[in-house]
This record gives sequence, C-alpha cells and structure tokens, in this order.
Amino acid sequence: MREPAQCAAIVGAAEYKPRRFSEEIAESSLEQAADLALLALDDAGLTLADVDGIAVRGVYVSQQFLPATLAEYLGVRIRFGDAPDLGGATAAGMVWRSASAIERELASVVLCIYPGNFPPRRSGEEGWRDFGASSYLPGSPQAQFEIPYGHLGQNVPYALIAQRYAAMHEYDPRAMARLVVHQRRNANLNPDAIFHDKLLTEDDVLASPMIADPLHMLEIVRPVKGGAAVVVAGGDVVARTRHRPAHITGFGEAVAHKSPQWADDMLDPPLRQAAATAFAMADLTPTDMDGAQIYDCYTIAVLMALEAVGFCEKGSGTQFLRSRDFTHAGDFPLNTNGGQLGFGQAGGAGGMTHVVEGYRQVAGRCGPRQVDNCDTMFVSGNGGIMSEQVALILQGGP
Amino acid sequence: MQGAPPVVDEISRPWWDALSRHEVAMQRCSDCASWVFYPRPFCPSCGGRSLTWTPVDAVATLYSWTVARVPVSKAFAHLEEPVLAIAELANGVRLPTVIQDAQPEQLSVGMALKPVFDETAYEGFTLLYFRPAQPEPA
Repeated sequence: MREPAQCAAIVGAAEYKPRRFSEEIAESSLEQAADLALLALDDAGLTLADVDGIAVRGVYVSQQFLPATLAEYLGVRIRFGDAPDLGGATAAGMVWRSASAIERELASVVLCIYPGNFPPRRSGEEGWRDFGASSYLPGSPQAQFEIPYGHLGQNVPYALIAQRYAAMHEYDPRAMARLVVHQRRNANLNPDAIFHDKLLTEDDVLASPMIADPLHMLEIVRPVKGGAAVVVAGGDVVARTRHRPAHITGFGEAVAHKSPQWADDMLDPPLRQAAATAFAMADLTPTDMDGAQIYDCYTIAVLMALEAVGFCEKGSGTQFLRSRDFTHAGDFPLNTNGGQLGFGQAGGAGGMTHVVEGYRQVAGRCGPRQVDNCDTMFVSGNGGIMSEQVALILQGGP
Repeated sequence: MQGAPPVVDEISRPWWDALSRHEVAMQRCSDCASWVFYPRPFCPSCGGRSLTWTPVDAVATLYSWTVARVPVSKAFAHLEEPVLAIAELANGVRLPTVIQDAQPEQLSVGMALKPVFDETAYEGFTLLYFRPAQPEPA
C-alpha cells in the first residue's frame, strides 16, 4: 500500500453549468474539449506547458483518433493518450488509467475531458435503425436476440433489474422517492444544478408518470447539455497546484456483459468486484468514507450500488434508503451536487459530474453544500446497464 | 418500417429454422454439456468448439418483466405498452422476450410460462414469445 501523498491526485476541475437538452450549442465538441482543458488547468494553477497526457471522449468531429486530435488542437505533445470505452464509467475509468500512467512515470499531468453533448443523430432511412446504445449492425447479438423483441434503450433493462429486485428483496417505491428528494435538496443548494430552483416531494415522484414498471419518470435522469474535465497530476507537480489535492488511493474496474439480459445474476453488478479491489488497494472500508458520489442514472442503480459496494448488506437497501439522511449535512452524504438526478445528465459527461463533485468535496470547495471535515470520498461510474463499472477512492492531502 | 427484424447470421440459422417449425433448439457443448445461448461458434463455459443443436422443451418461468409505457424507440411506437420480459427455461438459459395475453396485474416473478410462436411481428420470421401457463381465472 502507498501513502496517499504517493498516489496521483485530482488537482483541478471544470464543469459547465448544464443547459437544456433542446438548446443548440454553437461551439464544436472539439472547441468545448479545449475550453474545458484550459478551464481545468487554470483551476489547478497549471498551464498547457505542463500537460503530457490526455484522456478524452465526447468529441464528435471524428470516429477515432480522439487523443491525437485534441493534442494537435491544443498544441501539446503527449506521452499518454486514451479514450476509454466504458459508457457512464468512462470518466472514472479515465481517472484511474491516468493515475496508473502517472505512477509508472509515463506522464505527470493528464487532462481527463468529456464534453457533454450528443453525437449527431442519423436521419432518414438510417435514422430508424439508430437504437442508441444497442447495435443493429450485422453480427451484433443485440440485432438478433434483443432489438427485434423491443429490448433496447435504458428504461426497460433497468426496470427489469428493479422488478427482479422487488421480487427477491424488500422494495418500496416511497423509499426510492425519498432518495430522489434528498438528492434534490442537495441540488437546491447547487446553483449550477438544472433543478436548483425546483423543490420536490416524495408524492411528486410517485405521481410522476410510470415509464417502465416500477420506475417513475422522476426516478430517471433528465438529459441536459454540459461537459466537464479534471486534471490528474503526480509527483512534484502536485505541490505547485492551487487547492487541496484529492489523491486517488484506490480504484477498481469490472465489466460483466453488454446487456443485463445475459447476466449470470442480474442482482450482482460488477461494481461489487470493482469496489472490493478499490478498498483493498486503499486499505480502507466503506465505513471509512465521509460520503459517496454514486452514478445515479436511475434510482435502482443507486440502490444496487449501495449494496454492491458494501455500504449496506445485500437485500437491505430499501431499509437503508428509508433510514439514512443523504443530504450534504446528513449521516450519509450522497451525490452532494444533486447527482445526475438533480444536476442533469450531460450525455457521457454524466459520469464526470460524480468525479468532479468527489474532488471538490475532498478539496473543501463546495460552499453551502460542503460536507464537514471531508477527507475521503467514494466515487462510482456505471456504463451500459450495470455492465461496466468503476470505483474510485479519493483521499485528501495534508 | 415497424419494429426491427432479426439480423440473422449463419451460426444462428438453426435457431430460427427450429422456431419456424414451432420448435426450440439450442446449442449444447459436447465437451462440458453446457447450454450455449445466444448461438456462438464456441462454448463460453469451457472454450470447446464442438457444439450440437439439441431440442429444448420451451416451458419457462418468469425471471423478470416490465411494461414499456413509453415506446422504446420510434421503430416500436406502433406497440401499445408491450410487456417485455426475461423468460428462464428449465435448462437455465434466459431469453429476452415478450409476454402475450396477460395483464401486468397477473404477472409475478417465478410464474410458469408456455411458449408462443409469433409470426405476426415480422414477415418470414418466427419469434419466441411466452404467455402465462395457467389461463386467467374467470
């Protein structure tokens, strides 16, 4: 085990205030990536001259060569380039890959960037074949055994997990609604959150339309446009940055399947392994955490994660949701910027918002929603449908 | 165009051929006896490449279900609140499917299902749907 100070750290961040999904964005995704890079470096007190690594996704000017495209655009020569393909776990995946590269001295300052826009929609005859995250290309199992039956998108598979959970364990829609309300209270303290000005009650959540039984509309993220970036640094560079660093002392990743229909056990998400790896690496336990930023595209994803990480026992998640206080001042600060349910989900950058908030809490930069004496933070990423998951443990410097 | 017909490949053609005869057949590994689904040229349990198409009794239980209250995509907007489900066969294989002839209130995880060979969704294809094994009480 390494001391926290020996580990690479997040030393700066930038995040766009979310804009409505319907809003047209004038800048290209490449321009946004460069803008986010400069903002995050400035936040850290570093410059482009310090950068020798880039991890980037969400740039839609080409299908490939993303790190090279951005390096050329920024005018930097890098020693580490990456574009992880982990859906909503991509941001957390960028962070641990960057930390590993830094600790093996491949790089010293890595930009992790995710402009939060969406790929251009295909139109016409091509358009109806566009099934989002499911592939309708020849040779894809989804094109043969899932899509023809209408098994596609995110709502249905998450609902299938929730319904299975409800049959095997205690499940209470009101406990789910309570989670949404607590996260909304966090969002109400975050001026950047898309729902900052909107109060919410449990009854509001339960009265919102059923989208896919048992999931209500307000248990599902609101798509927005945005984007975020963090700077990961190591060695001597950390000492000349501006803020308290958040050292990446533990991390883990696990990938189980593309579609949960083929999972060995739908109720055993890969985050269980990812988190166990991360805690062992950091020599910490879930009870050592001062808070958690858990990927929350759906309420059921949070319930499953709380159990998989070990914050509560398997099958007891509903009781946990009912009894704990998830606001920033509560006994289990969770998704303290509002989470994606309260902040908005800026496409693939949705995973980055948890990384940014985890960093800002450890750095003590969260203003009215700051968790008192925050030295440790758990962060998770979740791609696909509980398919590809990453766990990070952040610890504050001295 | 409504829905999205299966994009069939050679390795899985026996699955679709069996369904067109209102039968169910799956690959079974000759080395470790594991059932293999969806079809592949190898066994993901042991890596063996010797697989045999074998008839399967398609009685099943309901592993999970939901109702798509909003269309899953534009291509499926013609369907009115379909019941989408996972059926678990007696051999342990699970299948993404559609439940027919059942109201959501009738459904419970673990309930017995029987196969429905659907030829209405796509011309030239038979899909494997399911329905509750017991008719709804009068």
